[in-house]
Amino acid sequence: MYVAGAAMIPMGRYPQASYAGLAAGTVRDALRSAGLDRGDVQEVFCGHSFGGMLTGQRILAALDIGSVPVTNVDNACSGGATALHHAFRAVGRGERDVVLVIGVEKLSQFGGGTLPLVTEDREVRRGMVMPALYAMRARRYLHERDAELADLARVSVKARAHGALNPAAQLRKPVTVDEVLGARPIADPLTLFMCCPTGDGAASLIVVSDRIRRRLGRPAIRIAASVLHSGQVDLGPRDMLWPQISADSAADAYAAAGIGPGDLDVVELHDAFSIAELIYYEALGLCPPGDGAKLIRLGETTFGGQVVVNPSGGLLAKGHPVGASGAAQVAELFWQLTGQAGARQVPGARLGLAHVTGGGIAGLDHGACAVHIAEAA
Amino acid sequence: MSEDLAGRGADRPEFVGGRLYTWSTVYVSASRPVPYTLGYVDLDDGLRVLARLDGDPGALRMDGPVRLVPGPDELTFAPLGHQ
Repeated sequence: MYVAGAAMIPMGRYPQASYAGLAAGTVRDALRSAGLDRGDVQEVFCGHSFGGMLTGQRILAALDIGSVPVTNVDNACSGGATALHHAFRAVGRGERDVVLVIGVEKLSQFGGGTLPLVTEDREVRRGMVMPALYAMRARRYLHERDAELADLARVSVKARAHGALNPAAQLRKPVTVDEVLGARPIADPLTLFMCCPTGDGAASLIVVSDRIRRRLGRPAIRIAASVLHSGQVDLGPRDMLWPQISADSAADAYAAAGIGPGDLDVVELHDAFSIAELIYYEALGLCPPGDGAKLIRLGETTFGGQVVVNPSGGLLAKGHPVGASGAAQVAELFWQLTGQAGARQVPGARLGLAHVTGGGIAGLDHGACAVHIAEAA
Repeated sequence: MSEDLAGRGADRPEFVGGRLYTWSTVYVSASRPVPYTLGYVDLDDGLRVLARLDGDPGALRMDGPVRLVPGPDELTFAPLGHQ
């Protein structure tokens, strides 16, 4: 299975836009980059969380694409990646040759502030918001690991430096460690600049079979692994520095692709908050447990380091319109692995991994996690 | 579960104790007035609960002992010795 085309709009705030308005152009551009026509699309999966009923069909109606099966996918932050997972399976089973994946979200509809969570959950009723969850991880991390608050700031500094190179990033202004530490508190010890911005965005991917990829003869990436996990209930003490769902998803993806973390050139991981990146270094096996802060201090995860993490700017700088992020991450892998990433190109990148996870549910570390591994075709 | 704990604790505040695994004071929230402080409390019987933390956050300690107290939410804890 291959991704033969990708497109996204610059993430940001588009309060006047509809979901169809955000996404329709990315569908057209992704088809064009693959050398395909809207009539070639055999099935569609659309990831979103707050678009309301039939979001995918509204987008397709604007493009006069109809009749083909359309499935709308909500998996919180993993929605776009989950849509890709189902496209991967549909093509893998030999049922389809061309499947369109859309990830789209408009968070500006909520004004600002924290993501509205579902109040059926007992922790949400008690006041849980996503920044608080990650802030509690951060406090524990600083307690257990050889790390300081400035290490959390360094993650944001790196993200902004990368985002400055990405025309599609929501936040393109570089920041310093002092500016990150001095920003207003969101959930102690996290400051504003350690949190992803709220915003809007859309990304589309064209997933094709090997037969179509050969016929097109264009740059493409091979999806070597597509893994989706859900969280497992544990009502007892849980190690908040070891996100089991992400570690399990990554392990399965490495096994399916027949590679290890040391083989990766580029990683797009779920840095919704700066602490998350340090924790996911460990969960994805980019370093031994305990060494995450060392990676960021030594510059091992920026250009010139052992593996470039979030060259796009990541969720912290590129932005995090929930349902769009998973698709946008794989769009970044498409550009990186086909040598089209411009100023933020990781030289000679051949192998990449994308990781999204999320959703706050009591008793789970996260609700959903998707990991994709891709290689230059 | 939480309802049971709250009911017992309201009658006998010293009944439920635990240790504070981590906490955060929240300054931006979609769900309620800020600031407020939340933490995960590891109860002596092996469960972990998300609880509201009462009093001065400066008095909180990692892995420090806490006890259930009457408070603004059904589950509110405070450091041991806090009145």
